[in-house]
Amino acid sequence: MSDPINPGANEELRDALERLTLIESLLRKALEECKERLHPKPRREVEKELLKVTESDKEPGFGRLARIVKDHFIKNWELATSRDLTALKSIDLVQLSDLRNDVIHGRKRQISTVEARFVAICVEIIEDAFGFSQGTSWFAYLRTLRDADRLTHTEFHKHIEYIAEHDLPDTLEDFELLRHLGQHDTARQDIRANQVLAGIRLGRPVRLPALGIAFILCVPTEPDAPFYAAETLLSQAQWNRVLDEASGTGDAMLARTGLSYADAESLTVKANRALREEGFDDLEMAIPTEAQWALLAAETERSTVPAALSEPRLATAAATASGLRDVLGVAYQFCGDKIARGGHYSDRRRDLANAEEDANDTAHPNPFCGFRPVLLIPQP
Amino acid sequence: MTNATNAGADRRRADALDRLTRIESLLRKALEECKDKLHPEPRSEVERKLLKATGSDRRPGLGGLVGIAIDTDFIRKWEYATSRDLDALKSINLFQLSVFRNAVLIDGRHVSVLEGRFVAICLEIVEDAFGFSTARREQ
Repeated sequence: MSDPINPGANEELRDALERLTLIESLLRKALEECKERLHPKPRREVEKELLKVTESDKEPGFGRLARIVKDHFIKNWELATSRDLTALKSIDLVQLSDLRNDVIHGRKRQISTVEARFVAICVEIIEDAFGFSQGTSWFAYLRTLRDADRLTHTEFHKHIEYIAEHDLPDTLEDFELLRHLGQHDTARQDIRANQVLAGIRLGRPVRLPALGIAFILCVPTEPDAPFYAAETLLSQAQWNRVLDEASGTGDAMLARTGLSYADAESLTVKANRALREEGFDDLEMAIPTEAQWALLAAETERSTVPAALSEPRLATAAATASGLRDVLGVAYQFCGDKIARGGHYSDRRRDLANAEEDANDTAHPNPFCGFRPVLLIPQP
Repeated sequence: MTNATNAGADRRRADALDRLTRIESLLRKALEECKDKLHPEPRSEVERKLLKATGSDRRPGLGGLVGIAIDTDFIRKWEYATSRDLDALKSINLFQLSVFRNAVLIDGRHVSVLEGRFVAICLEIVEDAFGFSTARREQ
């Protein structure tokens, strides 16, 4: 495929074009995958709009996708998921499609640093709005390392070239692919480990490639030590992946429930073994203490508790200020000494007090118990 | 136990509010001062709309200013008059930012880390678009 970038285009322009192309694919993915969660009427509207385009034998382009998302999707997605998408609505997606056209067709030959950063954050906002975000991206990690002088400019480009060479898009699934590629490449494994450790040193959200789980920093008041908590309850797919059951298949949007406390303990043993194999000798996955759980629960507001659900579906409500999801109201979560807190999805009483109730039985598999691990990090 | 986290959230909300307020001030300044650089016809239209808006006892807020900018197509005209590339500014839905500011200011809405970063970048873009960033750094 020929490179659509003008010979004189600066490096940031190239990055921005890649990101704008990524935005197009994210909008396409949102319309294809997320429309099922809309209410019937708006879903039909979206399908009708998509049909109008495909009837003309054309795949909808960025501009068309942007208009459908803007006019028919965002508001209904907000209603369906009870999420506040003000940031997404503050982006003029149609204008972004014009920007991409201008870059491709050479009408725009330079991009300022602030414009490049704007495009980058648009990607993050769109990923976040549609639940595609799984932690910090491969690309962002490389930038973090470069900005922290842990990668030279040349090394940075070498890694980016590696991504391009393997046709890996700048998406958050890259870690999965790189993990696969890295099985026979110890040097690349070291790079991945360094990325995670650099993220932890900077207090950024991190995603452990070995486990496919995103973690967010939680900072209690001293003398308690900071720790990382999983962004959501473990999904069925994540649970299976850690246990290597059915090669990690399973629903990525449903919490793994039906667990006993002993199941959670077994998982942490297995996960810690995987961490050691990946070179993370100083990290330890654990069941949260009661104090750690209390810190997570204290951040919860009404808007972060999901509306009534028929199943333990993840990420249907807003994230907390720290970015945690589903702390209360999806499934009881193990903590402390063989207890589980947080209420569950089939409890029709949707207030915070009830959502904080304990589970009755944690010794046996409980259909309403799930697991949110914490990651204990080395203290300076 | 939660003090550190809450303090971070409070600070983020205050920072975002401060930045959104600065966006309002910059847009006001742009409409009041930069309009002199527009061609006569669009300039008189901006002046008329501003006068109408300030005719009541209250100065227009961010929403009102954005309304004037949209009604008069101010950004495109400013881009044309100054030959500046305002693609990034045009990619921001300023009206939604005014909705966001009201939600933070009036409803005490929390601001996520991502939203905080977004607002900070929007401020930089507004400063950059109207040529105020240098002036601000010099102050």
